[in-house]
Amino acid sequence: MNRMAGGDEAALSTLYGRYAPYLYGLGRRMLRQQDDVETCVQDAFFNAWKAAARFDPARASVKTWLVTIAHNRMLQALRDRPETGLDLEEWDAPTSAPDRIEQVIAQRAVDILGEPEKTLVVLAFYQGFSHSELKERTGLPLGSIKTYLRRALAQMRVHLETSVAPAMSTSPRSPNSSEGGQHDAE
Amino acid sequence: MPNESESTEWQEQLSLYAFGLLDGAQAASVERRLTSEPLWQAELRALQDTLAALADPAPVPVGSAERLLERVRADREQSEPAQTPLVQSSPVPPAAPVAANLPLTAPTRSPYLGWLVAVALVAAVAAVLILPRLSSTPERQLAEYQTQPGAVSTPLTTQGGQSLGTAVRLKDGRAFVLLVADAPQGRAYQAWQVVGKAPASLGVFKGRSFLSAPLSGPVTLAVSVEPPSGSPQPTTTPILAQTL
Repeated sequence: MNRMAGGDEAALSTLYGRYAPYLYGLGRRMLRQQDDVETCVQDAFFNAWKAAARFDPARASVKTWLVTIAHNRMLQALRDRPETGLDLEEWDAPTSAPDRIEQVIAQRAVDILGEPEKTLVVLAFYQGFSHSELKERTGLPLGSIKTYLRRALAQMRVHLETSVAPAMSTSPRSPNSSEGGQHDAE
Repeated sequence: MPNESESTEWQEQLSLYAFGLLDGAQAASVERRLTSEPLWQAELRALQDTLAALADPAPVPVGSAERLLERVRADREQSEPAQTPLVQSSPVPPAAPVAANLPLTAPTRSPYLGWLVAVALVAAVAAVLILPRLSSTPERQLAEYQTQPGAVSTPLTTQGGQSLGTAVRLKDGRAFVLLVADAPQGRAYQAWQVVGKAPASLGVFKGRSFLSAPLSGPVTLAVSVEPPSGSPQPTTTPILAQTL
């Protein structure tokens, strides 16, 4: 990140190679239209390039930082075309993503959730519904939505923490090996 | 130490914050508390890492990395014309990314450099003092921006079709907005860029027009009527919100 902040294009290329697959995966979930995904991922990396000097490894890993930038950009793209988005029933449909262990883990993290937690996570994270829109869409009281989302995050967190370690030993080329900020100073 | 009920309530707020579901005031309240409680900062980071893990990898289109680098280089080249040797001699250092491309050795001094500098200074003074007067009316500024290569104009209207003004998105990402009416007496217009769920202030502007800094990609701009000193968040319903 320091090299990128200094204008090193090779550092940007390295970062792109390492994390672009995650941003494209997120885009496919959220936008489903390849042109929009490409635009948003490019914008996310371009914005990261411009803001690299402000990256603070104490606040987020590189992956989380990039995903957050891309997520915000994709939510904006969804708002620009509100008639489209990820239909809930499509969530369980298989995608053409490569059979990589991280893809399985990420999907299972949502799949382990019961209802209404799963629906709430999909609507809030992948479709960018606001708190009041979640209430309107699900009919649940705002207080219950808060509780369900907290539980969902806690369950997914435990699942990921217990799943990633074994998975890593079976996937030596796993991009998740960069998690935790080991590459933050690159 | 908070009791269990308070702790649960706080964790719920933190979860909503991680999802981006809090409004501006609520988010600011969470951020204030986080600054004084490092343990909760670590908790938030864990929650954000959990959400980031929901981004599962997918194939990257061939050539996309090259397209990104082309964009970066084009942006760099666009900013470089301002980084002429005259600018290098100014006391203001260039931005870091541009500086990385500049030669480390000083250029050979030309015998005509003094004259060139003098002429350039006169031109600069003229540009500062005279040109703004020539293009002092916002309508003229609008016309100038509209004729720039790559500029895209967008009429601003109410839902009922009443004209509110005109916006021009320039090739370098800047946006110029001209409104048809002044702000009410004792009030001012404040421009916002809608990022995620929260509007980020672009500043209060005097009169009916403003020119933003370069903004990346499609942006949603909004304008609200605020006190002359501005507001941290809009306090009135925006008179317009337009994606450019």
